[in-house]
Amino acid sequence: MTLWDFFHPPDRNEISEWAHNVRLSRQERAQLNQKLDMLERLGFDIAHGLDFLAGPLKHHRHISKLVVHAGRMLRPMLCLGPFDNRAEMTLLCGAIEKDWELDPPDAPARAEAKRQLLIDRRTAKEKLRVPHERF
Amino acid sequence: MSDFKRRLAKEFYDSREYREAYAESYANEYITAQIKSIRKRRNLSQAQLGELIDSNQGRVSIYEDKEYGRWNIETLRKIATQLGCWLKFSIESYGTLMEEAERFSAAGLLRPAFEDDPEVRRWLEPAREEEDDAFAPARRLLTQWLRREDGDLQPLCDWLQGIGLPGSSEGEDEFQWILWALEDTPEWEQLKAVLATRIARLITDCEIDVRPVGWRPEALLRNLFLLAANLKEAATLEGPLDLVYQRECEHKRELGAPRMRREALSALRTAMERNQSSTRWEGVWFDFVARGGHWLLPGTAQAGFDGLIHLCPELSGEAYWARLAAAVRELEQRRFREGKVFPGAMPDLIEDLKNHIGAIFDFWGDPRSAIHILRAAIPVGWTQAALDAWSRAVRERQWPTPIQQSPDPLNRRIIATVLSEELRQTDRAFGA
Repeated sequence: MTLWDFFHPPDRNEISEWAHNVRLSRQERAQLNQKLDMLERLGFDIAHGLDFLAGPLKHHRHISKLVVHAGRMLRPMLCLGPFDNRAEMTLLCGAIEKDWELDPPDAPARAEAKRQLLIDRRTAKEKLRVPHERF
Repeated sequence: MSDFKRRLAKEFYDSREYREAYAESYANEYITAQIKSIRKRRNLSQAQLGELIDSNQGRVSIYEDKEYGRWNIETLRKIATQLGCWLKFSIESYGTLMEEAERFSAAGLLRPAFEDDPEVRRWLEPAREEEDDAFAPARRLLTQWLRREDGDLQPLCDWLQGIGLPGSSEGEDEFQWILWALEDTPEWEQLKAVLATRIARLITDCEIDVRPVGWRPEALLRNLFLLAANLKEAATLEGPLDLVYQRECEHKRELGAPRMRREALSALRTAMERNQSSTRWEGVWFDFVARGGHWLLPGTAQAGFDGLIHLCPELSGEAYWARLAAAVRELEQRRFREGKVFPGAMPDLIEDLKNHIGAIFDFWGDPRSAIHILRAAIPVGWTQAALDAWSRAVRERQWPTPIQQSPDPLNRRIIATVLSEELRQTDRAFGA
């Protein structure tokens, strides 16, 4: 499966920006990259079956979160597709979980809004996603 | 060279902390995913496995938690034993980690229980058979799988990627190994039909073209389609192959590029060529012939001829031949316009066309089709090439003569022309 990152034209990669802002440590980068490498190879359904992904989230049935227990509980939000549900996944925004609360707390809603934006602006000239950049 | 490995090598080289964290995470993910996958494959619940290792469901749930990270060797050994396997300890290099991470797949996590292990079974069989027949172990495994009612499709996906089929190895044409192993079995016809049904299920139920599983997805698809091509079970496979074709068309229309790579698409075209029981792809082949290519499938005009050759014979009426003659004419004119047809041009278009048409006659083995194409070629001014092809077919393949005695005046006129052409060629050959 192919992984994509949500992108704000002309030059802001939402996911890379999140990783930069939360100052991921080397260990966290390694664990995130490792998890995403496996996710690409397993595909969405099997990854769910093996608990790589948690979801769909309450009130946001298209959004799942990647479960990474690194130094912090990293929870990037992603969706299947949304253009080709059989061959791709898109990372929509980053989040960190602490004491069962997400930071940002509205991460699933933000992810859903971004997913919707991708669908609405599917034919727009400026593309809202780019192939995933490793952390 | 693999981009993935190159990136990973760079990351590993840049930081020791990074590579150690990556390795630890990989090892943890691998063992938990493996316990869970094999347990599910054996149809065991966490509680059942817990009972087998003198523990409980809660503990198994913890062992399957990637973050647990503190497995007890004795517990892991108990789990492995109860799953019919053994526990291996090994110290590995980072090079092997890169290799493993790239090849990682759900199928690769699974291990057969001792009782089902093909490698064990292979060595329990009489030695003589092994010496005489390199395909025997693969044949045994394949026939067992084909006779089994449940028809789990995962083994086929593994075999088509070079995993688990005795004797075959990665990089070979895995589909060919399957055919070689099965072709000599007395019940080949029945097995072929079952194999075709399972390929059809992989396409329709699992949408394997959309979600290819394993670490060599392109090889899987290529081998799957080439296997389908060689089975020639049009009644079972035509519909599913059309599904793949339509899905690829849709993908290309929507996203501007096909989902599958060129090799797999080329194999799909071959499978379509050889599994035709209706005229649903007639347009595809005529596109190839008339335009010298196709907007989705790779190939040249030759691919179109190949497709038309394998079109169901009873469907090729006079209209078909008329369309073929017109399509060839279109190709010829296009090549003229492009300046690709001139004396001494390589390839020689007219010579090529004669060979193609000759091949069609040869394939049908029925001279009556020749009359159709000759008749159809007249209005499009392409008679000479068709006549040449036919006269060559008459000469080289020693067709019987009933067609030459036809009462139809048009046929007789055509035959007369052909004969005179033949005479001219004979004269030329003898220097007259």
